[in-house]
Amino acid sequence: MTIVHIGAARDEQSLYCTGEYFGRQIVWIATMNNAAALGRDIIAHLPRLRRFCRALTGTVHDADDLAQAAVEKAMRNVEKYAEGTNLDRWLITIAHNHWRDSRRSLANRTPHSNVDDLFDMPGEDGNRTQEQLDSDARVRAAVAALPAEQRQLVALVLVEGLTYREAAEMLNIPIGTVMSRVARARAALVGQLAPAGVMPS
Amino acid sequence: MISDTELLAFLNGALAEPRMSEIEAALAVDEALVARLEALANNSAAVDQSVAAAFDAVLAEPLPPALLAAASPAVVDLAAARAAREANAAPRSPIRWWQPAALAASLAIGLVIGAGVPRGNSDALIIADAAGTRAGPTLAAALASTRSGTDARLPGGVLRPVISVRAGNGELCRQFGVQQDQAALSALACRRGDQWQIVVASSSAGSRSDYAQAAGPGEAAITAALDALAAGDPMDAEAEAKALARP
Repeated sequence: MTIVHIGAARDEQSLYCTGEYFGRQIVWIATMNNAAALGRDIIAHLPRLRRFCRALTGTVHDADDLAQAAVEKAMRNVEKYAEGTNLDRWLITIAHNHWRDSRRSLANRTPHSNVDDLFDMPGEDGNRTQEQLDSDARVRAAVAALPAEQRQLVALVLVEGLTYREAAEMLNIPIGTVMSRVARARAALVGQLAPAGVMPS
Repeated sequence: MISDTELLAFLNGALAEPRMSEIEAALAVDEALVARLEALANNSAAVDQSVAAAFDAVLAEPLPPALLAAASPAVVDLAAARAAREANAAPRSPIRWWQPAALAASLAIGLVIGAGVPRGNSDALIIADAAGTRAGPTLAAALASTRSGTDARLPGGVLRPVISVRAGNGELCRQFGVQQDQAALSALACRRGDQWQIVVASSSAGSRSDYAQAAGPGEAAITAALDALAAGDPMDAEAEAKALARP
């Protein structure tokens, strides 16, 4: 079979193709299938997924690797996705599970201790001053230096905006533990950032 | 009774057992206690805002092409796919070609036409993603400025707009061809804002015929698409110049 021609329909949900098969001209109309629809929806959520992964892993490189693994896994599990599913939450759960599993198999990496070692690339945003970009990078580095059990809660609660209860359910740990870890993470961040003048104390 | 002091100590992980576990157990069943703890915990707006803002900056970063590609079921480069088929006379899995819906749908978001043009490159003639199937930046600029019947040299080939028409919905649409070294593309695109949305694109390998005569296999489809758009007659040079100048 040879595809000779592809036309995108005006609704951008379907297309038609012409081609030949054993010398006979054929035409068919195709409607966007689930995988394509999911991919389209995922693309719209990629910035938020990257943001979460950055908070969770601490480096640009690890974050994008994780985001990519999560997207690939989501695309493989297209049958588990139904229109109306909270896609953000689904992707983040997949990313978090992948992160947790790979940490397990990789023998826990020690958290970074020196903030200055961790300076990641500042975000590209023309509206922010260099000073602000530096302070953003410092805050991200301070988050990266937290122990993993606190960092994952910073990612879920402070960055992604989950409630304590939602985070507790997702991690399957008691809500008190969630709140306690978040509180200790906040205290550690204030301890790191306030002396550097990055954040009002 | 649990005091605020104890709750703060609990938050800080500074409470001795068995009190730690007792409060944990109480929190699991006592919503009011959870609310009290939340009130004690949420007194750090400054740090929360700093963290949120620091990571919000990530939202504005350009997306890595590999990540975008991972969200496409398949990225198909027509010319590359054809070359691969021709190089491999017996396709490895001919059955796959009997899945038109899956294949075509994947094209809807992953299509990049343009022989030898790297994916994700701004020189790609046609890009297809969440924003629709549309002319790449270089092609779009050329479509907006090249008169019908004249050529414009692009990194991906030579563009020749064939006609301009006004669609029933008022959009300016152009039929055009792009001649490449090993392939020819003929297509119809309509201007929406500053984008040129691709209505129909047809690529044929090895064609050296004059695409201005537009007798390729895609011609019937383009004619059908023009009908479907309720397009008017081709514009003359003056009307076209006016239409191109006025977005």
